[in-house]
Amino acid sequence: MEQRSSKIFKLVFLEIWIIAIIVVLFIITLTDNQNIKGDIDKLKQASVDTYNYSEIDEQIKIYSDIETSLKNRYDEYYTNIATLEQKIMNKETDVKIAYLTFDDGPYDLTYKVLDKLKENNIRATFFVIGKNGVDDRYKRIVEEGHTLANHTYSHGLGKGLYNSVDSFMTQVKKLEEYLYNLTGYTTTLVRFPGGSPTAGKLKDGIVEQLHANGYKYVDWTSETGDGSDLKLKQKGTYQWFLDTTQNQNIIVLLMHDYNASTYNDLQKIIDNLKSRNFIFLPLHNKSIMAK
Amino acid sequence: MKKGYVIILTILIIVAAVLFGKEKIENNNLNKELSNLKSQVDESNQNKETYLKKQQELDKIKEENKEKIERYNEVEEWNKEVVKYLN
Repeated sequence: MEQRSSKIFKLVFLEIWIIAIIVVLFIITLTDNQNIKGDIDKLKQASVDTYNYSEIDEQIKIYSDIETSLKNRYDEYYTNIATLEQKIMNKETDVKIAYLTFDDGPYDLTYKVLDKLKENNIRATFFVIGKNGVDDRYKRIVEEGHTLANHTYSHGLGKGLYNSVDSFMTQVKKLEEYLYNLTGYTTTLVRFPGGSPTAGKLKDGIVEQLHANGYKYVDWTSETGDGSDLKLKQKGTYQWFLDTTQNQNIIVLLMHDYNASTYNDLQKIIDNLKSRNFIFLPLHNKSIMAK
Repeated sequence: MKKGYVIILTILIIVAAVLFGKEKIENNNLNKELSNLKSQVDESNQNKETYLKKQQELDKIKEENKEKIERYNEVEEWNKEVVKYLN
């Protein structure tokens, strides 16, 4: 009887111990859970931002090889202009294109012409020749997004320019190098001084050489008559402009940035073209006007 | 009488064990949640660091090629104007 009582006592004692251990473990776990809940709340309050750097990666890719990216961007732009020209030719759109071109500069008046174009948010084309001491004029043409194009270094009409294909190409390459050194821009468009027919029998040979050197040439479809006093005696620049731009959907307008009369009429010319649904673009060698 | 104690204590052991078990299960779940949150925060911090490094790299490239990048963006705008007439 006493032995049995002792066994039960031991069992009770053991059970009390077990309960004590379980209670201790329970309290430890409970405390741990409270701490973990506190940590979780803190972490939830901490900002877990998502960072999407695919856009940055894309920009790094474009800008780290900016030369190629810029070339590609220009290619795309010029290709789209060429496509628009094609749509215009196919009469698939009402919009028209005006390529304003200024020959023989840069002159003092070039600044005013550039100001006027800037005011109107227009980019044009300057067929320049080689001149010393006017570096900033060439640079400004490029900086403001106009096309800097080649009109030969000397514009040597009557001074041997059209003696041979070589004499012409020498003048083209001389100006190309001169402009590249000044602006970092390589010309790809040429306008023959006097227009391509002036080259006479040499024209085909010159064109072949121009193409071989990555050039195309551009004549004009319209003019303000400002290159000839004889023409201006017949009628004024604005009238020349009106008469030579009728019934055309893509015009290449020949002007000279030394002529005050053209400059004075420039805003009127721009306004007239806008009213006739023309948009203004710079020439490029993908244009159908570039041969 | 003593048998009664044993039975009561046994019941108490069972109740305590059940409560402890529940708390332990919750403890496991909370630990998992904490671990997930920690790794999310770690990942976020790491991403932030990478993002800042890339941003610095981009700023440096932009500074070095400022004029050309400006022209690139200008051409993009001019191109949009032309595309507008194509559509």
